Amino acid sequence: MFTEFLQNCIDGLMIGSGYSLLALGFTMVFGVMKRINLSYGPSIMLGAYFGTWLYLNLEQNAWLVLLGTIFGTVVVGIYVERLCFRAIKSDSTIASMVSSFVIWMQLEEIAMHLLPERTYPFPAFFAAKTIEFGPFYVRSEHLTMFILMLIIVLILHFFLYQTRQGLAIRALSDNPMASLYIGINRSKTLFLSFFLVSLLGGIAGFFILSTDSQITPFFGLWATFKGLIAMMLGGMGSLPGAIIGGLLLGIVEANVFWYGDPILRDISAYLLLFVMLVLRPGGIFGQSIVLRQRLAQERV
Amino acid sequence: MLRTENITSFYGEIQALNGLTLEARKGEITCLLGPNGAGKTTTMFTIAGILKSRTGSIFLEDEELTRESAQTIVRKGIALVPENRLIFPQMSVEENLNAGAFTRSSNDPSIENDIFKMYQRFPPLEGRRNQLAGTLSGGEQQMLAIARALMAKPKILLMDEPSLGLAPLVVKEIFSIIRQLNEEGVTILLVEQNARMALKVANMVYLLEKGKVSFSGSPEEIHQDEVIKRAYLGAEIK
Repeated sequence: MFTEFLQNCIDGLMIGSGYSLLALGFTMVFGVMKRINLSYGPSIMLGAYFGTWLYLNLEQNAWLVLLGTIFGTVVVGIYVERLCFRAIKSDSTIASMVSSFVIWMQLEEIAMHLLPERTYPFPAFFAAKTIEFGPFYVRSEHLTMFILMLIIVLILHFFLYQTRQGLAIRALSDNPMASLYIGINRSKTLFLSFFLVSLLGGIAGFFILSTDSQITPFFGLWATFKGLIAMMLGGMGSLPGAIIGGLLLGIVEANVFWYGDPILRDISAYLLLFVMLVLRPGGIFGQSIVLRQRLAQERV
Repeated sequence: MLRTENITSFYGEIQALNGLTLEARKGEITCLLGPNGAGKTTTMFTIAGILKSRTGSIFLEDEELTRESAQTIVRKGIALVPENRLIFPQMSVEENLNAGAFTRSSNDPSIENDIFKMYQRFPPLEGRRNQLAGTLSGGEQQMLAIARALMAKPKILLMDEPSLGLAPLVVKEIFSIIRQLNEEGVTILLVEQNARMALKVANMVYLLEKGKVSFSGSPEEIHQDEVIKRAYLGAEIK
């Protein structure tokens, strides 16, 4: 019984690492711009479709698919940035959200016309294998994704806290006006963070889809929902929040799936979010951010 | 060192500056005084490149900066200490200072040394170097804002109401810092509401009214002019 529960938690952590990767993208955009990019999921979906298209038409090589997915996601990401973020004034955050929703619809249409059969196989680096750890089992692609998530978090942390461009991103997110006074180029920095987020999205998309071994146009909706929920659970704009939120979501879903009904899995995600919003509206890490921000702003 | 010639700035359709001409000479403290809405902060924003002038030109040591972006202007040597400090509240004191050196080359080894110098100049900051800047007191935040601007190694420092919202003793301290900086050769363009303190440190004073210079001269000349004393500075100026 207890072993079962632990096995569910391990599965949850593995699946949750995918959610964490998605949430990182949302939370970075929110942290820097205070805006939500609804078309993040669909842009990953379109990028991944481009990867599949290469797989089907050029060469059956997983590396090619990975690079194609990243490239496609970055291109679509830049398109979204130009249209929904760059072109919209800094104070109309809702307009960005609405226009990113419109672009979402557009991207789904494009995906459906690009690949009319809709469901396509998606390759992985290696054939799925099950690894045994004593009484527990882990799928090899899941483990890869989990380790990859940890590596990406480390790299991201290094980039944000040890490099000059990272400093610019954090300064812009902390006080946009002041970052202008110290000579930070706002639009260049926003572009950089969008680029980074798209890169992250492409990598996340490839590994999540590899574990599913197929792609459908619904992936966009799925990725946006899972990423948003994981971000809100952890606290909007918080990087550790995105990681913890994603993992928590994965664990809860895995347990509901096992003990309850597979149908309840998605509902449990919304229910978890509902409970979190009632008990702790800022999310796990968000509350302290909200308080700290308020404190800091009062003093400034 | 810094000249503006006939600059005109707008907020949308509202005209805030109306042909403003002034000069800040090297090594001096130049002070802009004037009532609310006279265009003091607008002047600062226009010089810093945050607002663009529709007419006229701005020169720093004979180099024209009128059409340059705010980033280029910082790079060319104009640093602004904004009104209300505007530090980075969720970054540590040290990160704030590092951010101030953003326009300098990232592998400039002297940045670390300059941060050390800032701690020597502003000792309260050193004890709080790892503390989030938002948790500092008002006076400390003002020191941090000045230190951050100095980290860009500016040729001229623009200071927008450094005494705003600070306790009288702290105001005194800030002004002694301003004087000290000036003695070390820093050129300063200062906007102040606190005319009394400003006149004590200024070498040259411009009175602004409705986006124009209505009077300019040394503090002594202002003291001699009864009308100006009464109209702008209040009778208490001795």
